[in-house]
Amino acid sequence: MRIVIAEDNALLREGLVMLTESAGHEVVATAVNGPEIVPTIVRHRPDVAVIDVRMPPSYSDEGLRAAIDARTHLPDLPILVLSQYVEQAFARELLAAGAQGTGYLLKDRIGRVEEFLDALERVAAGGTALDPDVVSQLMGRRRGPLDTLTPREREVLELMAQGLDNPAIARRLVVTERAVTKHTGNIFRKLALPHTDSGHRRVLAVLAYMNA
Amino acid sequence: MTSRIRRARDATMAMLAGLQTSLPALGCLALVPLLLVLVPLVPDAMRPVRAIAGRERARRSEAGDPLPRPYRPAPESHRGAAWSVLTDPATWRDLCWLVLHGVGWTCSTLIVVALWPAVLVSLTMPAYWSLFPAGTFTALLVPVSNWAQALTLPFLQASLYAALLLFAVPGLSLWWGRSSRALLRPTTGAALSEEVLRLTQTRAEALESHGAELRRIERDLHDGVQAHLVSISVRLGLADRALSSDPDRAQPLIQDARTAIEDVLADLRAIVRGIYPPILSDRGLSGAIDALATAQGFPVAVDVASSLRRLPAPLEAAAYFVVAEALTNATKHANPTRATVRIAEEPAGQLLIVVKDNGCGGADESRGSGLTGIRRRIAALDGRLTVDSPVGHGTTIEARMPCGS
Repeated sequence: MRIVIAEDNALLREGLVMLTESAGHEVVATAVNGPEIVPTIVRHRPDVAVIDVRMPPSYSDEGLRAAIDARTHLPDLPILVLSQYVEQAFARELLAAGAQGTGYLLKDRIGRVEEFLDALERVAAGGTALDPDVVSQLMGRRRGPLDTLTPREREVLELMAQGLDNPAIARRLVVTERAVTKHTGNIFRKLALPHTDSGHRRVLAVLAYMNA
Repeated sequence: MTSRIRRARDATMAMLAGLQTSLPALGCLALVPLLLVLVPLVPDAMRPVRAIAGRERARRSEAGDPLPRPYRPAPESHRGAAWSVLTDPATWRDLCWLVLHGVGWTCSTLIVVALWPAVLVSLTMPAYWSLFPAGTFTALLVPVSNWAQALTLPFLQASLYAALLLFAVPGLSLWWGRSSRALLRPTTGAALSEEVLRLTQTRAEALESHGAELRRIERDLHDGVQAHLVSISVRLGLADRALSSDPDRAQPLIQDARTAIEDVLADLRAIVRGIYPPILSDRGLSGAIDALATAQGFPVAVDVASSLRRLPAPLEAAAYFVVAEALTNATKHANPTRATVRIAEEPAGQLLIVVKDNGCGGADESRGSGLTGIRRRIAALDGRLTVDSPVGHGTTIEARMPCGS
C-alpha cells in the first residue's frame, strides 16, 4: 500500500513510518504542517492517508480540516485520522462526510501494532475504524434501549461500531462466526435497526442510532 | 538662640523656594476661572493647574512618604474627559490649593522676607529719623515725632519683628507645607479606587499567565511524554512481532525502547521541575539556591537572609526560577567569572532577589523568551523585574515581589 503520513511530531512520524514499513507498506510522502497536507495528498494519490488532527501553525484542528478538504479533491480517499485525545464532535464531523474508508483513532493505539495495522488495512479497503474510546463515549450517552442488551451483545455492538466485520468480531471475542451473527441479529431486532450486513453502512446505522 | 535664628532662616528659605510654585499658581488663578466657564475646555484648563500641583507634589514628597497623583483616569472621549475632570474631587481640591497657595503663600512669603530688613530698619531708626520731617516714619503704628518715641518704639517694633521671625515664622512655614500636602494628597476614596483598579489589572494578568502556564504543561505532556511513550510502544510491538520470525531484528528495537524510556523520564523530570522544583520542598529556598550556585561553571556567592521565613510556594518557585534563568543566561551568553545572588526581605514587605554577574553584559530580552517568561511569572505575583545590562559591564537582574508580613 502507498501511504501518506501527516504528523508534525518527529518521534511519532518516525514510529508510524517504521510501523507501516515493517508490514511491507510504502510511505511515499510525509507532511509536517497543515497547509502541506492537501497538496501532498493530491500530488501523490496514496492508497490511504494517515493524518494527525493537531498540526501547526494553529495547533487546533488543522489536520481534521485538511482531511475533510482532501475528500473534496479525492472523494474516495481512505483517511485514518489520529488524535491525542478523543473528542466525539470530531468523530461526528469526520463521519458526516460518509463512514466509507474513514478511521478515527487515538495516537495511543499506534503502540498496539496489530490493531493499528488492522485498522489501517480496514480503512484502506473502504471500511471503518473507530477508536474504542470514542465508541464507549457514544454508548455512554444513550440510555434506554441499550440497557436491554446483554453484556455480550453490548460488546458485539461496540465492535460493530468500531468497524469490525463479523469474522473479525468472532476472532476478537474468540467465538464462532455463527454466534456473532446470532448476536448481531438480536441487536438489530432489540434496537429496531434496519438489518444490513455491509461494513460501513452497518457502522453508520449503529452510529446514527447512538448519535440520535 | 543661634538654633532659633537658623530655624528662622531655613523657614524663610523654604518659603522663598515655595514661590516657584506659588507665583505660577497666582498667574493661573487669573486665567483658570475664564476657562472653567467653558466646560469643554475644562481638561485643557486643568492641565497647567495639574502641572503646577504636580511640581508641588514632587517638592513635598519625601522618600518613603511620596505624594501620588490623585487624579482619576480620563476616558477617551472629549466630553467624557471634561465630565470626569469636572466631577473629580481632586480637581476642586487642586483649585482650593491654587487659591490658598497662590495668594496666601505669596503674600506670606513677601511679608516674611520683608521682616528681615524690617528688623534692621527699625533698629537703626533712631539714627536717621531726625533727618526727615517729624512723623515720616511710624513705629508700632505711632508716628515718630519726638526723641522719647524714637528711642523706645522702634526698638519695640524691632523686637516684635524679631520675635515673629524667630518664633512664628518657622511654625508658619511648617503649617503652609502641611496644608499644601493635605490638599494635594489623594483622598482615601481616590487612593482606594486607584488601588482597586491596579489590582483588577494585575489579577487579569495573573489569570492570563496562569492560563499560559497550564497550556504549556499540557503541550509539554502531550508532545513530549505521550509521543515518547507511543514511540516506545511501537518499537516493543514490532519487536514482539519479530521475536518469532526474525529475532535479530527484535534486539535493536528493544534497545531503542529502553533508551527512549530514559529520555521520557528525563522529560518528566524537566516538566515537574518547571512546575515546582522538588528541591524547594526538600531544602527550602536557601538550600535550593545553594544547589543552583554550586551547579554553575563559575563561583557564585550566595547571600540569602538568614531571617528569611518560609514563603508561599508560588513565591519561592518564582524566586528560584529568577535565579535559575539569570544564571543560565549568564552561562549561555555572558561568560562571567563570578556572580552573586542576594535574596532578602525589604522593609515594605517586598521580597528582593538580585543576581549580578561580571560577564559581557548586553542582555537582550527580545532575543529569547526566558527573561520574558520570568517577567510574566513575576508580574502574575504582583512583582516587577528589572534588567540592567550595559555592554561590557556585566548584568544585574533585580526582582521584587510583595510577600506580605
